[in-house]
Amino acid sequence: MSITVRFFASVRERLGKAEVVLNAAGVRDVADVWARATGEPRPARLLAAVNLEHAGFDRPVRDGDEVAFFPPVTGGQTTFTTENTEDTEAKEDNEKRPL
Amino acid sequence: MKVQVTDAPFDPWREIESYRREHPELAGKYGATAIFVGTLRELSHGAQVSTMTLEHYPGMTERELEATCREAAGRWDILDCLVLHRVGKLAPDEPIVLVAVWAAHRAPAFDACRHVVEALKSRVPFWKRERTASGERWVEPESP
Repeated sequence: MSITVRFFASVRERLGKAEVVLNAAGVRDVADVWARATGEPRPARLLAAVNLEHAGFDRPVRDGDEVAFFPPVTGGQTTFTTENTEDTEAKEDNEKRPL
Repeated sequence: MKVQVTDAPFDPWREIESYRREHPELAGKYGATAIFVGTLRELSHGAQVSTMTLEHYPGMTERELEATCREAAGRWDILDCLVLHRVGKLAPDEPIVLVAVWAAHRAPAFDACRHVVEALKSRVPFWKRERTASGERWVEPESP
């Protein structure tokens, strides 16, 4: 009777753990899993997956499921900004330059 | 169709060529190959990047990449799709991602290639951590 909970990227770093195993008894949905595994309020823009598929926080979970929590994804090329930095890149990206 | 996540540097042009050779059934069928190669730049948010580390969710990453390619194949008339994505530590000028799409005609090749590239930004579980002179930082998207 257990649920494997995994954390990735900045979520993992903030919590200081990559994985916990929860007792599945009484756990209803993804929101429950977060609350029990971390004891913390949910960060803004947290994403979740159940058994390797994107899932909402109201998605029911069952014994044996793997539930993961992570920040918004940033694959491909960078066009983002982040804290403590200036948003110069978006402008750079759109500027037309001679070849 | 092939999707692969690798922690070793790769040469996208060589990968395209060897995939094409491994798939002789494509010969004569395709009239268009749309290729996208994403490369790590040395400048991000005005800061000089020395290295970038790409973390991912093994298993889910491949699954999402495959789903994206299947989706593209369902939506456009394409013959084949190859996606390679780097993870781990990268230096500027190293390729991050290769998306190659083969089709009879250029329009579906371009559209399907674009679709796969855009999906990388929105649903495939990759996270970037950059190292610059001022330290390391996670790259996180702005609010939509």
